[in-house]
Amino acid sequence: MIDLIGLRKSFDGQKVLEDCSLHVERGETVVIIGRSGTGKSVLLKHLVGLMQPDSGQVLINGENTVEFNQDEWQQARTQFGMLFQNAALFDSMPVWDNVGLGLLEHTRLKRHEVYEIAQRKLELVGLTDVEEKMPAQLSGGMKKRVALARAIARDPEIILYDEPTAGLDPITGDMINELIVRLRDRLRITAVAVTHDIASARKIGDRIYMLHDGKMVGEETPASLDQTDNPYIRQFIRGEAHGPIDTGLATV
Amino acid sequence: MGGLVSLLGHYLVVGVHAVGRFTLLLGAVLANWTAIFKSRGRVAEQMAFVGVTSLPLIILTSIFVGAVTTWQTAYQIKNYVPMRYLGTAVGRAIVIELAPVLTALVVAGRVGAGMAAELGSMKVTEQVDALETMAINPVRFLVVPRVVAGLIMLPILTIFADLIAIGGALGVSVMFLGVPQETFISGFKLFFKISDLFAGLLKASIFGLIISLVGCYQGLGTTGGAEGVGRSTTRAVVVASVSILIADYLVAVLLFRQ
Ligand SMILES: Nc1ncnc2c1ncn2[C@@H]1O[C@H](COP(=O)(O)OP(=O)(O)OP(=O)(O)O)[C@@H](O)[C@H]1O
Ligand SMILES: [Mg+2]
Repeated sequence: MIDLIGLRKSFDGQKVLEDCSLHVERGETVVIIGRSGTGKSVLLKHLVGLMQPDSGQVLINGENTVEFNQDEWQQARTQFGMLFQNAALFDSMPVWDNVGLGLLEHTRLKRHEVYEIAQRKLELVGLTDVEEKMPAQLSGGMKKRVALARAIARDPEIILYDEPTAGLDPITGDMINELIVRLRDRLRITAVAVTHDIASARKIGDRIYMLHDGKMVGEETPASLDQTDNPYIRQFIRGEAHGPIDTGLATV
Repeated sequence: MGGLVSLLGHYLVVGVHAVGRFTLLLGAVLANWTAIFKSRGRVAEQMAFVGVTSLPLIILTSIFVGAVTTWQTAYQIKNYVPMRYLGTAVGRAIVIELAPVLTALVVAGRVGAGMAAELGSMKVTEQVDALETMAINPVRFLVVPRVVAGLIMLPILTIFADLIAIGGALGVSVMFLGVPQETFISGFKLFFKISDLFAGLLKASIFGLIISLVGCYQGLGTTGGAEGVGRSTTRAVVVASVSILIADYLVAVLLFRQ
C-alpha cells in the first residue's frame, strides 16, 4: 500500500533522511519510534506530499507520488487522514467545524448531518459537549483528540498518526490506543504511527521500526521487542543514556 | 566590488523569485475564482472584517483629510482664484485621489496586516498543511474570499470616505474660510463628472486587490514561528503601501490623458 524507497531529505545541508525505506501492507499499522529530532514528522509529511524528497520514491498503491501534480495530490489525499503532532486545529472555527470541515467541503451532506457525524467522531475519542467550543478553550490533550477525530472524520483508508498519545494521561492514552487498534481490526485501515510511547507502540503496532541516523533500523513485532538483538532499539526501549546511540553525555 | 555585485545579484534573484511566486498566487486565485459561490459565508465574513476593522479609522482620517485639503487649497489659491472655485478643486482632489489612496493606506495598515498575521500564524502552526492534507486548496479556501472582500469593500469604504471628507471640507469652508455652503456646493458641482467618481472607485478596487493579495501572499509565505509572523505582517503593510502608490501613478497615466 505504501512504499518508501531510498528517500533522502536534507534542510540547508543538514541531512535528515538518508536512504530511508519502508514498506507498509494494506490493513496493518506500522509504528516508527526514534529519538526527538531524527525526522519522524518529516517522514510522515513526505507520505502526504507536504514535503518533497531530494531523491527517492514515495509509492501509494504503486503510484509514484513524487511526480504527482496538484490535482493528483488533491485526489490522492482524499483517502488520507493525518493527525499532526501539535494538533494543528483551525483556531478560527469551533470544534465541530474542525472535525466536519472535510465533509462540508467534499460531500453534499447538510450542516446538521455533518454536525452529527462530528459529534459521533468526538465521542469515539472520548469527548462530549465540546462541539461548540473554540480550540483555544481546550486543553492540550483535548486538542490532540479533536485532531484525531478530524483525522478519522471522513473514514480514510490510510491514517498517519504523529504521536497520538503524547500529552495524554495514561487512561486516555490507552483509550486512544484501543481506538487505533479497533480502526485497524474493524475497518482494515492502513496506518503509520510515530511515537515515543513504548507501551503504545506495543499495543498498536503490527511491526515496529526505529528511525536512526536517517534510516530505518530493526524490524520488530510487539512480541519480539523485549528480546530484540538490535542494540539501538534495546537502548531506546530501556531508555538508557549510555549505549550505541551517542547522547553526548560523556563530553559534558 | 565583487561582493557588492554578488549581493545585488542575490537581491535580483530573490526579487525575481518573489515576483514569480506572487504571479503564481494571482494565477491560482483566478483559477479558483468559482470558490466564491461555495464560500459565500466566508466571503461575507471577510467583507465584514474589512469593513468593521477599518471604518472608524477611515471616518476619522477622512474628516481631517477633507479639512486640511480645503485649508491648504484656500491658502494656495487666495488672491489668484476666486473662492467660488474652492469646492471644485477640493471636491475633485478628494474623489479622484485623496479618498481612494488614503482609504487604501489605512486599510493596508489594518486589514492587510491582519490578513498577513492570521494566515501567517496558520502557516507556522501547520493549519495550512492540515488544510492541504484534507484536500482543501488553501488558495480556494483562504485567499479567494479575502481577495473578493478586498475588491468589493474598498470601493464601498471609499464612498464613505468621499462623503465624509467632503463633509469635512464643507465644514472648514463654512466655519473658518467664510465661503458659504451654497457657493462651495455649486463650485463642487461645476466641473464634477460622474466618471471622476468611477475612476476613484476603480482605483479603490485595484488597491483592494493589492492589499488582500499582498497580505495573503506574505501570510502564506511565513516561516519561523511568531517572529516570522511579525516579519510578514510588517512586510505586508510596507509592500502593499508602496504598491498602492505605484499603482495609483500607473492608473493616473492610463486614465487621465494630458
Ligand atoms: N521545515 C523545516 N525546515 C528546516 N528544518 C526542518 C524542517 N522540518 C524539520 N526540520 C529538521 O528536521 C529534523 C527532524 O525534524 P522532525 O520534526 O521530523 O523530528 P521528529 O523526529 O519528529 O522529532 P520529535 O520526536 O521531537 O517530534 C530536525 O532537526 C528539524 O530541525
Ligand atoms: Mg515529530
